[in-house]
Amino acid sequence: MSIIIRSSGISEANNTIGYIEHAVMAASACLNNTTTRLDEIDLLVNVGNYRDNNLCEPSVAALIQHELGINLNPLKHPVKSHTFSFDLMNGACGMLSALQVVHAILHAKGLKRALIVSGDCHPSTKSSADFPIHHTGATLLLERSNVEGFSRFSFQTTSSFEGQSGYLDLDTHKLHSRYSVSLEDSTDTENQFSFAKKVIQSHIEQHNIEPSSTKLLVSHHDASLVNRLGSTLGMTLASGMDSLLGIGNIHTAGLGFGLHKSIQELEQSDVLCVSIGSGVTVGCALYRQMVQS
Amino acid sequence: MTIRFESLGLYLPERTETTADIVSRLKIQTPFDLSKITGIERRHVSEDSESTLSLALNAARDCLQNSKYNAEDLDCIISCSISRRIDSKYHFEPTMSILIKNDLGAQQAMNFDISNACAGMLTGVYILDSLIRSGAVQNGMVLSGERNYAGSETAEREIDSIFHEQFASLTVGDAATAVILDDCGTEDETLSMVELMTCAEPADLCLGMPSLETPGVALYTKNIKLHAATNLQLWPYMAKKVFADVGSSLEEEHFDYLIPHQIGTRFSQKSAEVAQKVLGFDLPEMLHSLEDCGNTSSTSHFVVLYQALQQGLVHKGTKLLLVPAASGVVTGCVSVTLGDLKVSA
Repeated sequence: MSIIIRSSGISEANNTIGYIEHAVMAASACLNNTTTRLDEIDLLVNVGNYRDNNLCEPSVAALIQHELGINLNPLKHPVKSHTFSFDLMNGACGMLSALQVVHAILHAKGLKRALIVSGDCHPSTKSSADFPIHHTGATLLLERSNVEGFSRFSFQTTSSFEGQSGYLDLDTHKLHSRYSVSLEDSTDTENQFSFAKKVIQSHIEQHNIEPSSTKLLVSHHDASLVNRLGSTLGMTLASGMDSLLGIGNIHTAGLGFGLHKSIQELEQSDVLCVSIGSGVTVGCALYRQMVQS
Repeated sequence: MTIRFESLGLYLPERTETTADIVSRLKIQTPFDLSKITGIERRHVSEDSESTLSLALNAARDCLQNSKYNAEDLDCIISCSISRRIDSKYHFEPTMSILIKNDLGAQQAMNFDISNACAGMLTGVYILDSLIRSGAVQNGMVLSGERNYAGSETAEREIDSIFHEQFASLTVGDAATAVILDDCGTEDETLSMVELMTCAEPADLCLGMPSLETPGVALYTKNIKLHAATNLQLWPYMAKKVFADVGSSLEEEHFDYLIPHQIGTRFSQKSAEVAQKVLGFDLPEMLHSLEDCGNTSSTSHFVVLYQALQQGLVHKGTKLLLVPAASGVVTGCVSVTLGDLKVSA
């Protein structure tokens, strides 16, 4: 049981527009690459954390669905699939968590397709000096598969929290709360590296993954940490890593962006996808598109 | 494989506020009786010292007390709060679920948060049901703590007309609920259907975000458009379809009770009238907790269920249909036959 990437799309970094616009552009680019119709999408999952206007209701996924024109009202416009959408939040590891959830739902319910949208923006939808995340969007269109694609998911977290915190403080921002957000980072880079190394090594052993023939895709913006992981684990970085490290901090869009930029390599080589985020949380999953000889 | 509700947890803050008191503090006179329209007499309200997290932890502990599982046995924790508030801060990161699992000592559990407005807990159930059926986990907890009343306080300060978009916020109350699902169900104790759908045309008719008028979070609802008959017809349309897909019908399922989302008694009546026209038969009797709890957003179905168990209204063998009505808009059918569920007095 697995799920395969049928298509991917990105919205280029641009800090003058908000997340919903980025997500819609990335999803449109993704869907333009396929013959999949809007009414064939069973699930729409948004994993973006930081959003326009600090919206808390409805789900951002529903607003993106609205903008894309998916399952608006099946009584007025009959559809093949009755799309269900929701937001899943797990910081920088949100995309990998959503992939595991989509994997489970498509197989458990016999559904076929899911769209996962990712990305973040400052709530003002404009650039802000104290907001280090570049506004962008990355989307994956997934299909249920029996043999190829994502499988072997695992997540581990440390027992006490460290990492990025992002919040809106009503007492501080008062009437500017709709357009303000505060970010703090308590990450100890050395702890993060050691924990990630331990989790990935354990994943590799548990799932009999051959490091020398598997590419490593790490959703993280710290080039030093990513390169150290590659060399310590004896793994070559996936082809999309250069672009991912080049673009800087794109938070929840990292994994989708990295996969989009590695899309041709996915047909030739197994790729171990790793997400590292607040917690510390480390998630791993293997992507295998061809049966290896 | 048969999935079931293994245990339930509830926490309601002690303090209450009456609808009459809230309405009396508005800047305007209302020409209608809000209690009469909604059936809400009072709602529970958190103390300043209580957070979304502490509410959720109280429900989680109650759930574990009613369960055969300990925290260290849980495979998955899914937090579904809309109001992710700790002190004066609304958190986007870290997840509530990682703070909950660290506090409970459920280190082994996979965790993430869900946000799907008032369909949050049922969305968590939808996901956990699939994770168990796919073999990814064997059990897990879905929970939510909601500090909704802050939105009511904003509405109280800002409502200056009977057509104001924050009127619906005056109905909300605070609560926390938790449910553990596992794969040990039987034919007589089963979560037999979890089907949800988002119809996005009205997605922008109910928006929650910080107010620009006074400091606080506000919920802006275009009630007349949102509750128009064309939107209320979505649920019976879906119910017809999902039961037909499994070779059945809502009528043939013989539900003992229907638990709607707790918006208000008049809304429930209007929804039932529309549904009965479409479906052609009388709906099962509805259960509410509106009088004492108001609309507790993502936790509402589980507040009703827990209190119905406490009151002996439902018991082992009772078959329930849970129906969400959330902004998005989200509708659906969740069918559950109860086992021998323990609840605190």
